[in-house]
Amino acid sequence: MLRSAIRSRTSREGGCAIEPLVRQYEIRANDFTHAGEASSSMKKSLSRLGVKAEVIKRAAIAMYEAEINAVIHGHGGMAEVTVFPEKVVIVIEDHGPGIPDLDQAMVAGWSTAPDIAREMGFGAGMGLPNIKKNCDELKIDTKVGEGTKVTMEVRFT
Amino acid sequence: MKKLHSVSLIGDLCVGCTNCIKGCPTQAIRVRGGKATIYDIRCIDCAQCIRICPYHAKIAVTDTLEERLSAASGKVKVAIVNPALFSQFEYNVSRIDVLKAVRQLGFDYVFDESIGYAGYVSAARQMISEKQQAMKDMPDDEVSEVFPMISTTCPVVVRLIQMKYRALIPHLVTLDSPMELTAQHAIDYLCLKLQIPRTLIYICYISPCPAKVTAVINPLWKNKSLISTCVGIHDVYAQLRSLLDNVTNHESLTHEEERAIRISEPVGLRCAAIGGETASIGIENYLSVDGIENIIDILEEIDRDNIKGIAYVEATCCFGGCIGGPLTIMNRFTASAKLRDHVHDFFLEKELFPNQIVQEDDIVPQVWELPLPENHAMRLSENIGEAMTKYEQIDEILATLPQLDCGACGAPSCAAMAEDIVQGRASINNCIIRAKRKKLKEE
Repeated sequence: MLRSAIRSRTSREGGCAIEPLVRQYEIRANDFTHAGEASSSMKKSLSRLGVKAEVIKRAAIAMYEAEINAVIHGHGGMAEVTVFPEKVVIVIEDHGPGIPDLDQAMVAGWSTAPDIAREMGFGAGMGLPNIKKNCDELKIDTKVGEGTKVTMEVRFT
Repeated sequence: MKKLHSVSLIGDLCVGCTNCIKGCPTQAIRVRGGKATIYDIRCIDCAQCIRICPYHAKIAVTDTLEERLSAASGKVKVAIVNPALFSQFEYNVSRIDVLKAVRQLGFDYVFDESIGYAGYVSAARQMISEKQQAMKDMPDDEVSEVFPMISTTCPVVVRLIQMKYRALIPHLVTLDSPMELTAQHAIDYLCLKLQIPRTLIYICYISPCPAKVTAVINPLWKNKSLISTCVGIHDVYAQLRSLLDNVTNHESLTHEEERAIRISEPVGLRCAAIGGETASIGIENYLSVDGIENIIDILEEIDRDNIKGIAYVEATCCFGGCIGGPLTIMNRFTASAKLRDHVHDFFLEKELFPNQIVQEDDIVPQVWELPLPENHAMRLSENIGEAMTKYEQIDEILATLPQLDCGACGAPSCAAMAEDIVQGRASINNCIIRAKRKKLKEE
């Protein structure tokens, strides 16, 4: 999951006075060595913007877990981080197998991670529950055979 | 203006090279007008620049002992000695000999800082077990809000967390530092013994590093340090050596010295080397990490919630612990072997000088007077909207810079340069690579 800031763009969606900051990262399948670089980069950005340490920590943990999911299950994908003055929205999208039973996937400890991931200490079945706990808003769009899109929102106040 | 740090520059010696700007872990140094300058607010006193500078232009500002002692005439003069000092001499020089010599520098009383370390270690041990007890049935994520606990004996680690790992502040051990605990013990002891007010006691700390000097000038979690002044080990080393030629006799202490010299048990002494603190705490699931880059790695991991099952992190900025401090003389490996010797010698000392030894429970642990404030030196603006605009501008400028991180502009990297430009601290014309490329294009 080599991090690469592919392009930056600004958008005026939402009509707020300050343009949101948008950064995108590529997430590579089964690249455990670089897993977490996108969330690490986001963490540094939020810190430079002066976001409260406790909020940054929550956003970083949520994004890290989603990133790891895309590495293990999702055959890699893309991460998009959009920073607004009052919140950060993180979207992780993969083109993996999708989640057949979302309710079950949300249960702590339930895991379908392959042995290769478990051997490295990943895949304990805490990913999605951990994401849910750390963000203020969570939306998961998934379709079997097509992929999964996880949208996380963490508010600054 | 209040002096914030003890690291300083001798302008005449600085040639404006890029060594220090590249070596600084918090990117606090820039070369401006051909000379290195430090952004005080970002300096954490790690002394990397002092070690790195090939021209010895970076120094730690400490006080001259003679001046200080004469200014304190009429007061009871007390020295507190960092235990790293004991490791700086030959193998036959005992702790008591060193303290006798220190006393002859012009002090009335000499306290070994091991006393404070022993107090710190015992209080930390209790703090860890109380927290563990309290968190026994808590879910993992609440436990990871405070564990691993992080040692606060090295002020560089605290300043680093205060600025770059603010979410880890709740992990810090909220005990006052060993030097302040020793000072408090000295004050209690002398006020009682001599029946004098606290104001008549003048305390000088003999330091292995500039960070502890700064912690006296500009304390982290209290308004005012109990210590009046500091000198570096290297400032008094030559004088101590010549004094030691005359004091090396293991057998006797004069009646005066009996009263004036205080040491502690080895639990405090071994804290001067990395691993000593955790060994003295007697904890099993711990990490000991030395060197600022290694500390940054570990803090990143803790910040990411990636370190489980570890209760305590001992961290010292200097390789080897305080014995590797930039104001020490001896090579740190030799020093470490010498320190081990002193720990073994303890039982001999104990027989010879039983009255000098302060017991662990004679020291009253003190907790922080004030909460540790966060340091926002890395943020782009107080206003998040403005910070976002600046962030975007920085990336735009960065894209036009060569990304070679050559340092010739005076900033440690192109990214730092881009930030300096946006913050109005530098001009894009300082980039000579860009200027050269532009010129080549025009030709």
